[in-house]
Amino acid sequence: MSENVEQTGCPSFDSISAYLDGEAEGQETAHIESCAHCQRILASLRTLDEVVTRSCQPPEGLSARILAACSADRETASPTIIPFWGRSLVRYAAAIVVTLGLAFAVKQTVGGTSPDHASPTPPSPTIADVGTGGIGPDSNPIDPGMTRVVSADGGNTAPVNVMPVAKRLVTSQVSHVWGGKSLDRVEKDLSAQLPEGAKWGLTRDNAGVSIQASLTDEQLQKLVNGIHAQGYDLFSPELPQPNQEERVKFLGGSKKIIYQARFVNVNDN
Amino acid sequence: MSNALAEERERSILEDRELVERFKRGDQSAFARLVDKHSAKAYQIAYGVVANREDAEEVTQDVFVRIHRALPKFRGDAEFTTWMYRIAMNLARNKYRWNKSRGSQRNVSIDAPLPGSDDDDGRHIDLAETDLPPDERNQVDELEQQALEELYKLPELYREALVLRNVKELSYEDISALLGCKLGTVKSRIARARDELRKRLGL
Ligand SMILES: [Zn+2]
Repeated sequence: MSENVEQTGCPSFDSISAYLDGEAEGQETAHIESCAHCQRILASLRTLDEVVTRSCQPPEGLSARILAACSADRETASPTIIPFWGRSLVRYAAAIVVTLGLAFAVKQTVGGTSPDHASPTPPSPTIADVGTGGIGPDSNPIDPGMTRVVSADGGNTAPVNVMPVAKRLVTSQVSHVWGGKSLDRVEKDLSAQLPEGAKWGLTRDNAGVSIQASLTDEQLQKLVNGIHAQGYDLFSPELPQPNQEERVKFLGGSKKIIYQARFVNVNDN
Repeated sequence: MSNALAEERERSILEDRELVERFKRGDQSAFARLVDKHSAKAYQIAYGVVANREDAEEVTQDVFVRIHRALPKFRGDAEFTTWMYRIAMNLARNKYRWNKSRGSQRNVSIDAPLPGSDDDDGRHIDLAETDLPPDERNQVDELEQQALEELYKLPELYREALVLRNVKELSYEDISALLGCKLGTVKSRIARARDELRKRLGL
């Protein structure tokens, strides 16, 4: 398949590539190891592999930030301290307790929460098993309100500083991707969920369904809860998340948010 | 796979199983160890699919938040990494699709795999014409940056296969399970991705 494989008797480029991954057949292995031409191709593939690997290296402190995100996500759990984080977290424990208290207060004042979507447990773990919420950066990754962790010395095992969990405003434009087992009912499901008189539009293409709606933050939270309750899975970490009112700082009033949602079929592979 | 590698993998699976059990019994440090052990791989998968650091980190954090929530009901006999890779792949793909649908006017859609490929998938392939955002440019050396840009321009099917291969412990068999395609397809997609990349990078 490549013009570089022109020597008689040389295995295909696919085979040389497979050899690099330790997946070549026995007789090909013998040839590749003794052929100068194959070795040259192999050398270029090794260089390529190194470059690709290097270019995909994770940033420093990733593990620590993940742990902080997980901790922030346990909003209903008692604020126990994760031992791994060491003592520096203790200093912030009080702040977390306060924030959790606030979160509960907000949940009570907002009201109107949908019952939790009861997801069936499939025999083998799948994406359906892992819930639909998520914490992650909003549009601004270094928003000081975010629960992000900065490692003291950049190492993954160092004690880390945790910022307290803070409620965040919903951004003026929100983009969500939802997965559904079937997309035939999206229009019907949505029109049942959208508040009366809300402006919205829907387009359908061969890869999925897109909607755009103009809603207040509270209406959007309810819509997201409602879509989730109808069995769709939200894949985007952006706020608002289903049944996580406590993470949102609601503005109240009539300020509208542009909501764009893309519905994709999750049974396509 | 060599014996040494197979043994190492077996040890790793057993360790994961033990960590999951410890976490289920309330040991949070076991979860921290799982994150430490596997977050780089989740990130690599995400990065290869979404092709920018910010989104890759967002996806990676999301992967582990979901795992953290679901781990209490995770079956002990299933393989943790298989589960984790699948979540990472799904979330990254969705992020990628979302990004693509936002900039869809800049994408060229073609109906067939790259010419010369014997890929049997038959799905549509989109060639993203989008360049990396400027803030991605300063973070890597020139060749890495070029590799990233070219990786990003590869059709989704080929990039995903190569990126999964980049997570060293995944065998072709694992990748074929993750992508839902045949072993031979994995082999040819990886080769095709490499062939395209080394031509484009002049290697
Ligand atoms: Zn040869």
